[in-house]
Amino acid sequence: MGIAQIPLASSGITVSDGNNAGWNLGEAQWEQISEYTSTSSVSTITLSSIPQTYRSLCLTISGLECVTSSTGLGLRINSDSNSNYMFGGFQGYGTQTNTYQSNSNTNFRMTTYDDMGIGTIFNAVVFFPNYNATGVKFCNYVTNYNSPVGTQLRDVMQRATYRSGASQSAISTLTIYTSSGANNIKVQAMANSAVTLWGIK
Amino acid sequence: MKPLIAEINCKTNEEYIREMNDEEYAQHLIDKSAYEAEQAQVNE
Repeated sequence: MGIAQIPLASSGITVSDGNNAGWNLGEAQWEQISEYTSTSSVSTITLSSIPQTYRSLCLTISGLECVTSSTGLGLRINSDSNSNYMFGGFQGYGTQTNTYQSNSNTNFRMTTYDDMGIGTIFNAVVFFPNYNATGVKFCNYVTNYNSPVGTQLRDVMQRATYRSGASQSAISTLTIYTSSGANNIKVQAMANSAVTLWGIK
Repeated sequence: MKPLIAEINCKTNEEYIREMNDEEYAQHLIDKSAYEAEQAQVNE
């Protein structure tokens, strides 16, 4: 089936019909690198052998469901489990907001204190600029998930840094992992649920 | 049976699910312990 694209302006911005594995903003185009859609329940989802041919990466997580027991959710770079991750951000829940920071964590926390309970559905967009350059690695991410406490929705916005004291090699592996229980996440909460890695040149 | 890991090789797009190896399982137990300690602190 062909891809329908509707030019919006002479700048090259186009909109596809949803069948295109990428989107186009002028000269640059996000390309889908890999996608995980298995509905098996697992403890960890690892994206390995990430190609080094892009300028930046974007990891999207949609419809990741907690299925057996409460857990936190974290993200690691190159399987590094040492205290090399710094992050700060704020979260909104109900009518409240608060801020938080960690200077020596063993992962980028994707959830906050309430974490995920059974039935919690988690979504995120994580952006890694210059992931293949030598040096400190940065990322920015936005998450939302329904808290197991009442029916509150958590909206978490964070900036994060992979500390300069850690290995400064290019990002070749990303790991989404659960901090408790076993085999308690799967990606089938919504239609088109997936963990997808994108790259832009 | 140890917890399961889903792994996607982004170069080949090969996807498979396997049990954690001993090293990964040891890390899993460390993470679990840290999580439980944190939760205990939050619930104090």
